[in-house]
Amino acid sequence: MNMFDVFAYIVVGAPILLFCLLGGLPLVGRSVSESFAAQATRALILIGLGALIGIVLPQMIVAKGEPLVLRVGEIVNLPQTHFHLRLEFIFDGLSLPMVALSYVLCGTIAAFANNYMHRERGFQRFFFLFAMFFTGMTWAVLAGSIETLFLGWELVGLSSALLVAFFQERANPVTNGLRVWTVYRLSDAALMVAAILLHHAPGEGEFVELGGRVDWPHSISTLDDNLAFWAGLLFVFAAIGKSALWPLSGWLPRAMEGPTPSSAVFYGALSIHLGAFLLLRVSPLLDQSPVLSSLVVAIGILTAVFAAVAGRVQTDVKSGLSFASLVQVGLIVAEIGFGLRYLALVHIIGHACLRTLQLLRAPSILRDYHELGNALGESVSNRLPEGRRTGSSLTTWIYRFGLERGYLDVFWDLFVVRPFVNFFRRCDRIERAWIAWLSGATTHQAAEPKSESLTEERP
Amino acid sequence: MSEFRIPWLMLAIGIPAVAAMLLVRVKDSDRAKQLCLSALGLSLAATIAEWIDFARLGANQAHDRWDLIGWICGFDVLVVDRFSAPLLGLHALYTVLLVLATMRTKIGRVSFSQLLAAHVVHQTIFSVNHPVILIALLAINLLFPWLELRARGKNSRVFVLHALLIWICIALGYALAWACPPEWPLSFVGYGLLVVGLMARCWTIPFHCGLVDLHERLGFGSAILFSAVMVGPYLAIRLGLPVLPDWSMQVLAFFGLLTAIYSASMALVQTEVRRVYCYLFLGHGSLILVGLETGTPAGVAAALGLWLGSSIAVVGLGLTLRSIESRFGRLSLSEFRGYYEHVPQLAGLFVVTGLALVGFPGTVGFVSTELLIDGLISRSPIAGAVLVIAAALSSIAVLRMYFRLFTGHRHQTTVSLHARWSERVAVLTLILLLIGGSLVPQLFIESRLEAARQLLSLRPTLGSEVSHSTTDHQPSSAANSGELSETRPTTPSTEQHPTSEVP
Repeated sequence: MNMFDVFAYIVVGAPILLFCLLGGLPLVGRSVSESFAAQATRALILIGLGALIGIVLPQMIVAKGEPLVLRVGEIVNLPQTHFHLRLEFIFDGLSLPMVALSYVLCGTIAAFANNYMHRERGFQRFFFLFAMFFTGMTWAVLAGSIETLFLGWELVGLSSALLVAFFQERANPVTNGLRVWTVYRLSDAALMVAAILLHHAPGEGEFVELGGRVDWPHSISTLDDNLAFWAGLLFVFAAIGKSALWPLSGWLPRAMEGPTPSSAVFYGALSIHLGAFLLLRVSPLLDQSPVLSSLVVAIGILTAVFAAVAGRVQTDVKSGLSFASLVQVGLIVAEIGFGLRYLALVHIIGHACLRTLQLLRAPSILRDYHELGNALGESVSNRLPEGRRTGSSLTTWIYRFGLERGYLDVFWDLFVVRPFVNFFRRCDRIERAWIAWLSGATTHQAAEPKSESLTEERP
Repeated sequence: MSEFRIPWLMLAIGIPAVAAMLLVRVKDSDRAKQLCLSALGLSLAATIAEWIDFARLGANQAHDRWDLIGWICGFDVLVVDRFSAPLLGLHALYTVLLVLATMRTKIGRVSFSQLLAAHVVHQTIFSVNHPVILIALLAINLLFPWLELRARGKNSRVFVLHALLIWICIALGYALAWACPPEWPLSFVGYGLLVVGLMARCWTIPFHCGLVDLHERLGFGSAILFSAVMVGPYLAIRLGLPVLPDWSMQVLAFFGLLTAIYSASMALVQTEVRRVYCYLFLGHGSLILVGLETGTPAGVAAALGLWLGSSIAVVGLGLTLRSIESRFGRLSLSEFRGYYEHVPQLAGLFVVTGLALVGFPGTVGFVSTELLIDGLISRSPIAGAVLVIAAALSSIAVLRMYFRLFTGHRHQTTVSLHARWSERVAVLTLILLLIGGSLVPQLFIESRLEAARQLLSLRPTLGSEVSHSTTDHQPSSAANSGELSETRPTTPSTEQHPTSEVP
């Protein structure tokens, strides 16, 4: 084990250590104080960042951009069945900027949250979920194999859903958390199938092999066209779910129900870009298929246009910012579809930093405006133009379209969720009647289930 | 056949059997619980010793030295192989933890002698290969839920109907399949009956209602044990795998897959915790049948891995829910309950065990699930996709249940409702197994792979090929053995007489 390996282990190990520490202690009945949670988070993020800046980055410079791979080992290897799960991390031109970004932004958000969440009920829970997210994000962006990426991807999804439902005494955050989880899980299913398809391909799911052993961003796919298309399509679907691209954009403004620090780090900075990152990682597959590339461009542009329209008419700052994020993510995805990989990467980094700043300022900006207004003696907030606003029917329609967020939630609820729920509720009624008949009861003890919606739940 | 150094199997079965008889006369519940725990602890120690001894022997099968039952019957009755060796210990552990986590307020309702008797029957089932004895034990196994339903004054008609169907179909089906040459039409009737019996005992569609009803009427602890022991898949392996032709296994697998997706979907629309729990169990238990059908060592190993992984998670989740139920009564999901503040540890344990049940990465079920999907996708992409969607729906159902139970308006209580140490120990032990198993999956999967090869060598169409691949199995000859392992023979197994494979 050389010096690079040791420090690379620190980079990938610091988040998981934090996660185990903050999750394990409460599980065995030990309470975690606010100061301990904050200090452990700060210390481990600094250690990881130090290892990254101190050793790994210079190593990369010495290696002149050659990717460095940290092979932790085979989790499972069954040569007779051609099945293996490999845990390995890659430090290359794509993952290094992303992991540095993750460390810096997570450190910033942790410092912010330490004050913002002070004496909040669930402070420890927040930091535990934050550690889970941090682990997932670090592992996902550094993943050298599809299995490692899947592991990180899932941790990001779970922490995201639980943080959206952080304010758990209210119904809306919880309902929205479940919605986020539902979209994530369905897109994760696509990622899992894609991962298994890659197992059977040359390279067996290793990104270095997938890119023909050529450094990112010049990597070239080694898969045959058919497999590349299907695997690529599944990756695109996974990215749509994770990055809230059209037509699965409906969950993004709902996810803003979580605490502001988590909204900033998830939906402003890191998590929202994970889908775009995935597309960058598998960009050789997109290059191989013009159909896929066109699809990615179309989805990106549609997302950007939709989010721009919806974002214009939002009435709260966090929703407005979420749609503003989505516009940029749509553009980033379109750039990836056009093959502009470096531009997309730079765009991700710039956008993540800007949006984090905006989201962290959001809770205090109104107060600042009021203070400024008091000092000036007049209101500085934007005023609507006086007089009755008139518009053509098209303008009105677009306005309503934006206000209803493109009717996306309505569409999914009406055509997917409701038929599904109604069908299985009917099955449930049939089963209960069948059991009642078998047990010889005229009226079965178990009454019909109460009518309730999966999407509109109230405590 | 190798011999254990000490008659571990006799000890594992005999100690609780004697204790069960002694406990009939004990009226004091506290004392009965202590005695029961002691007997189960000794039984667990014996099964662990048996497992270690078996591993050290390095044999495919082993039986007791100084086997009293074998001496009486004239043949080896109690035999364990690579497949069943860990099941005994695991089942003993489940029973110990279940008794340990039983609250004092509830022990008055528990019949410890009956619980020990059921434990003895389960341990014996896992130690027996002989089909006739297995079928006889199946009948006894089905008696215990009926006795409890009667004792609780619950309607047992649904269960009795299912139990009769199960036993008659399996007994008659196996007898016909064993007695008739495969070209006789009656042998097809036998196969059909055996398939129906196994489907019913594995609670696949359309027989799943029996288990759902049982979960609603039985005590939660008994329901957990009855589910987690998974006698149905065990019978499918011991009785079905060596005898049934390919088409029968395909029927079993088809209904297994159908049950997986249907149960996962049904779990999403339920409003009672016990029903959700039951459907989640059904969805994952039925996947074992899907793995068995693949006929490849990897597929069967995945099924066996899922068996262990999902049974640990099922018990862990069940114990967590039982702990919550013992504090708040029957749990409904029709509203948000807000229990997080009262039982934060149980909330954490719920998430871990629930996600382990659906094969979340980082838990022992993940590798098995991925291996199964991998095997399935290469055979039928649609079936693989269905399985992935079923897993996704199950995980949505788990989080939905979590939100319904632990979020919502907080209520004040005057007493602490936090988890007791015994409850924490019980669930944490299972979590250690779930996460520990995921840290060394290679050992876990390899052991299941060896067991799978051994089981497949009993299968008429695969026996020679798998045994060949077992004996010649070396990394250097991986290509050859790999080809064998992934190739399903097309010759219908009905051409061979099953009697040649009957022990």
